[in-house]
Amino acid sequence: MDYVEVMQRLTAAAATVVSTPAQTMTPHDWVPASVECPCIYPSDARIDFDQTYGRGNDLIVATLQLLCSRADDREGQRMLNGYLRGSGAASVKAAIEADKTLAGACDSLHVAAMTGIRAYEIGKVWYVGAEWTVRIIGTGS
Amino acid sequence: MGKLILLDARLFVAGADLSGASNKIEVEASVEDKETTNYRSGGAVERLGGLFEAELTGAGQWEAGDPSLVDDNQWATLMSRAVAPWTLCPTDATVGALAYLTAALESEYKLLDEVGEVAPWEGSAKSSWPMPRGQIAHPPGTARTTSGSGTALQVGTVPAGKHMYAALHVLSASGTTPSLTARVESDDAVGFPSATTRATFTAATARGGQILRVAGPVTDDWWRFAWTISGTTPSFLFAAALGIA
Repeated sequence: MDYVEVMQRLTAAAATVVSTPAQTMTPHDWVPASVECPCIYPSDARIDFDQTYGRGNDLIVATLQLLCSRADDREGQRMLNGYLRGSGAASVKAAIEADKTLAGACDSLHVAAMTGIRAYEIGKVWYVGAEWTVRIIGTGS
Repeated sequence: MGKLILLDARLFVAGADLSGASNKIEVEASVEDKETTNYRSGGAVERLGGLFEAELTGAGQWEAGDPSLVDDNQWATLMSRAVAPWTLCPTDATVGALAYLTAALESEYKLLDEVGEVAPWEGSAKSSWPMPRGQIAHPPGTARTTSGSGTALQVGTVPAGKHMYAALHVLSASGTTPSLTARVESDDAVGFPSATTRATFTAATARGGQILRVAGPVTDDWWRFAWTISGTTPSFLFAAALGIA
């Protein structure tokens, strides 16, 4: 399981959400210095190596941060609300878990939690967003 | 071997290498405590060692769908109600590595857990034979396609009343009508100038495990695994271990 490949496919999967009104989600597999909303990227990650003997399995716990425009605070929150749902076309959880192996990049994953619904500052600009905790298991590399 | 952090322990059960699915591998060995205290014991308890028993435990992350995977292996072993070879190694399974081997009866297998958890498994078996503290005689990752012999190991002589134990774990077999017949040989010199076949395993044509033993006394102190392979484009992966008990 390659961390970079997992992050690329994880954010790409999250970006397949269909919001109402429709807006294209921009995925990044790095922490961007500037953003175009809505966007999603990994803001934190932890790799627990050696979950089984002989480098058989690693565990990645990744935090994905999603940002929406706050130019109109109420509209920004309304857009975010769609992404927060546990199911549906706009659900980030459903989009990521549509293929729990990320096209073979991992063995399985679970979008375990969503937290941090608040304002985020990137550069000098404020956005509204949330964070998802994703647990990913796969063969140690 | 100095102090170590367990990262590369190995577990072979019948025809499967369960190491990559295991995060716990444990051996608990015991000897019965038989009291023989009498009025001439000098005021202290006297004891004799009785029967030996070992409990072997493996646990880790559950996988299924292939005989090489833990659920298929453990369920088949449990339901067979028959002893199977178990070989456990603290630090990988290179030739000469420390190995504990025995014939054991799978007595318990647990699987699944609460929602959201990584699917776990835990299996345990009780020994049905003594458990030698031996060595790996053939590594699991070296494919064999032709007949040959393994590395000579100075495991030692086998006194009367003891046995040489040999475990064979055939992990994969491919080709057309592949057949692997493994045997245990001994000699009194490292070069094996006059090898003696001490035991021969049943021909293996697919994944599986066998364990057998050779009664002492045997004055040869060098031992090795050898094998005859037949078939069309045959290829085998197997792990083997030797030990005296």
